[in-house]
Amino acid sequence: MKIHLYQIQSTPDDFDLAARLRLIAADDLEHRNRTRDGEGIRLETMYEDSGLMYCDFIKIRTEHGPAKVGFNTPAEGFELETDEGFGEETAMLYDPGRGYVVLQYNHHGCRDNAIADYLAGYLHGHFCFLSFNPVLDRDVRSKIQSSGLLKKLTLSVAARDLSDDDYAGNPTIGYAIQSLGRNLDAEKVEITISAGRGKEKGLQFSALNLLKWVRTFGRDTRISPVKSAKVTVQAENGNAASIVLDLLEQRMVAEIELQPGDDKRYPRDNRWRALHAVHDHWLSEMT
Amino acid sequence: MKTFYERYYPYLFAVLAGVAYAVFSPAFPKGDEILSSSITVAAIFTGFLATTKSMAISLDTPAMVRLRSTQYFDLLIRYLKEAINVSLLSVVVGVGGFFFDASSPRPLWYGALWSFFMVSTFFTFTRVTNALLKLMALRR
Repeated sequence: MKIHLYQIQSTPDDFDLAARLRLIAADDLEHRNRTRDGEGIRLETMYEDSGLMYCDFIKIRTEHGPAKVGFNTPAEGFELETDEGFGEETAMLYDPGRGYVVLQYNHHGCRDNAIADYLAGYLHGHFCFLSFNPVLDRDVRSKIQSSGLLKKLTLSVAARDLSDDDYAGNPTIGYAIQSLGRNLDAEKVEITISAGRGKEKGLQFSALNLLKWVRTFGRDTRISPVKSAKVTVQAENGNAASIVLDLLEQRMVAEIELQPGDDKRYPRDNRWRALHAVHDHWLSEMT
Repeated sequence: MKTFYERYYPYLFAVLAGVAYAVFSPAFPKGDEILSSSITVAAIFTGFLATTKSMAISLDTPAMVRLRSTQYFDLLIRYLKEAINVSLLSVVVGVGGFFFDASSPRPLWYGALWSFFMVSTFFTFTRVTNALLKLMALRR
């Protein structure tokens, strides 16, 4: 299970997310639903403990869904009422003191912006805006330094953009407009360099120098020609899986192994416990 | 050549207009209406251009962000300033015309000057607004 860290940002500044969560939790279940893109989303449960708020969001899918099937039994449908569908759960931990949100990443469930919009737009007529901003990992550098072999590098570079060199040769606005029009549709060049198979094989160059080079093009990926730069490194103890480090936008991300229950869902308490553990770990890392 | 043209074409056409006025010497319309109208038009252009200035500074499409990081942006602002200044001068020239006797036609030199300013106001205005509109149209 992947877990991401976010910092909340709200308009107006004094928007109280904790109060909003309590308000929603106090509503009846059927009143908490809101729709987004034809699917339902709601806060399923909320639980407070020691200043932290544990939430579980559910996305209700009523369009086509999976079948129930066994290795020895044929595929069959689920028995669902008209107002029932398939639910995808996403757990969230909110730290009101620091404004951090620790969010489970469920590919099929509601994502960060869907949850933020749900919470902000819950009350009709009360304008406010909430966003979950991913917290970036300032430690990409040390992660690279402490990592093992570099297994793969993927670089995505856009066509050359308008610059002062162009101005030297063509100081007219007409040229600038033409050039911008061409470049905005330009394709990107994606370069992938991988090391050979085998535990001892790695790429022979310094990822730190690459990191420096990438960063000199500016972190604002809209004007930088480097659109994406990722390295795949093998963890120091060759047994663990390889980690992908995003040199431009490394988010704080953690991965925890969870065992699904009998009903093939990750139990809520286990998910909450994982969020709590990761939250404590990151807090200690950042201080 | 392209550079020279883009920089100066409004004034080239304006000079042509002034010279044509001097050569063909049409009678400048009597009365004050034409002056009032031309002042109004120039003032409207000035107001619009002032709004365009704030738009140029605040627009943040990828194209504008890219432009702002180069010297092309300074060029755009220069065109904008020229357009504003020329339309303001047109207003002044128009007001000056009121000081002539309204019952007889204004002197030839005034007509040429007025033509010069009207045409340069028009072309400096279209130069910068066309550029901005094209830039705004580059959406992604």
